[in-house]
Amino acid sequence: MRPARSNADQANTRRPVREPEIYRASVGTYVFGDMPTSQGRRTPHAAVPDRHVPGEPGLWVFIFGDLSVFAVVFAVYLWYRMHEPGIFAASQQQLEPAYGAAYTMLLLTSSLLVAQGVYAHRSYAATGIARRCLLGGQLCGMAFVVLKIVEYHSKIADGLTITANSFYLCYYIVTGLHLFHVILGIGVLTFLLNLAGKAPTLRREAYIEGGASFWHMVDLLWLIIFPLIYLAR
Amino acid sequence: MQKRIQIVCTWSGVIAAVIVGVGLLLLAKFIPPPHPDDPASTFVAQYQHNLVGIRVGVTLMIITLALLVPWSIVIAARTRRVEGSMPILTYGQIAAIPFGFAVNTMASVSWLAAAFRVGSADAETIRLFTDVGWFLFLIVWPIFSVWCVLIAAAIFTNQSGRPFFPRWVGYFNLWCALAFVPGFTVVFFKTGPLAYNGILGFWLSTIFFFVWLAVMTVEMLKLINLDTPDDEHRDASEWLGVSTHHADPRLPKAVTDTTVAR
Amino acid sequence: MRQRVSLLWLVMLLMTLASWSLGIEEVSRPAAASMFGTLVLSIAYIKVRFIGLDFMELRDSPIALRLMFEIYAAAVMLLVIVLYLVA
Repeated sequence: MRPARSNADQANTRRPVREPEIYRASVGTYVFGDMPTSQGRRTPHAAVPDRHVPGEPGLWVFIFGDLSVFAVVFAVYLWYRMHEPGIFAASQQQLEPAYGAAYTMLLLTSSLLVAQGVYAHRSYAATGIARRCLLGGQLCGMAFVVLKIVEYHSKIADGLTITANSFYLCYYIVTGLHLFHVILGIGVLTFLLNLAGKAPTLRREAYIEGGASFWHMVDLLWLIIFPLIYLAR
Repeated sequence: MQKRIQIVCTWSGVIAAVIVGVGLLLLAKFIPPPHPDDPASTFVAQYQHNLVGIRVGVTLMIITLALLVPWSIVIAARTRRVEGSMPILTYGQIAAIPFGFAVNTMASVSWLAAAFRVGSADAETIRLFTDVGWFLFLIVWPIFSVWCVLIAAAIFTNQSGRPFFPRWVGYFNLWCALAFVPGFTVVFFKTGPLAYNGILGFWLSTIFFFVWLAVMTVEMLKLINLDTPDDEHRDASEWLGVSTHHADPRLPKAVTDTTVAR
Repeated sequence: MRQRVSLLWLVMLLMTLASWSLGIEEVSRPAAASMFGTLVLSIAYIKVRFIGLDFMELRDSPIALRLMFEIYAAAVMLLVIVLYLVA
């Protein structure tokens, strides 16, 4: 006679059931829930737990993907440089590294402000500090765009357009694509400003972290572009 | 039944993608694209050396672009299921799909027209028709970007509690939407990375399109396999106001008993 | 944590100024120019790592994510430096 199945047996034979990602994602509580802060009071958020994915995992697909596209663009720039070193060296002399340094400092400052904004939102330091920090970061970003338009204008007025030579082709492609990302980033920061003004929830916090990561990515890319195009002869 | 339809449509898209690859790559040798800067005689020579291959390959492309429509509709249909009473994102996808694929089909027609008259038309006309074909192929990027953004929006705003694509697929769609953007530059450049044979003008968008097809297909199949008969019944009750539950399970699954869902 | 980020900002600002002065050095020998260029790109790599690890908070993220970032940063900067020197 077969022995009765005990609970232990069942536990051993039952395979662990892992809920498919899709279910969790569809309910919208993938990484975070729509949980308001406890009892509606503003309590200081616990220190960020160890091994916490900033934003949410899916966002990093996007960020690494964008970084890879830029890596391809850098490779294109360097490939052209390899084939026409003389033109590149001569044209690089026409650029003004002062612009580049100014851009770098603007973006570094904006990254700092955005990071401070995230911390402020996370720890509920005081009403409005998070918004003011994010706004400051956004203003630095807008200053970047304005300065970039000034630089482009002065170049185009000198006749150095995108079809001038292969260096300027690459220059406008790299900086143009980056400018597009800065403008996108300003839009993202607007969205974050909107979120920061509402009652904090874990979900909103994750969005703010994620949006801030996108802005840091934009800064990161410029940190590579500045030496590559303006400085490295 | 619905599950079977979805699976057939999804696989038709896979077959389509493979045949497009075979058609354009092997038969027509249209990948890699010609240099826009080449003299017109090169273009004519390309047609003359491979006339049959080009005609067959490009015709295959027209057929398979049609097969991609049911594939795309599966995504739209699943979006419908997770949207509420005003399924804007679904309608947007349904509108974007024929727009994109129709313009791509016109690209094929342009190439076929050039191949049709390669003997009698002058070289510059042949080159121009080839250019028009490549433009139609690549310039249509905005609608594909919009389509990807619509899918991403559907994923991120899904509050229905029903299974849908995981969130990373939404971010992936946003990435692809960005990757299609450089297509607008092909009308400005005849050489370099932004021309229609260039790495940013052509290769980025095309490689991304096929990777996007592959990723979406895999995720669609995973999603379809999660379907249960309950989903179908729920759909019928919610959207049709009828129930497909019938008394005798031996009867065919026709809507014979119509009970109004409350 | 806030102090660290502010400190890093200052450090990176100084590194930017240092890179700038290195970059606009007029050097006669192309070998020296390459050396300065490599130095400037290496400084950029350090800045990129700071942004990723401290501003994007990848230091506290799961090992897989952090590893992916480190590999990406190292690979891209290596590629850039190698292709830069080959010219």
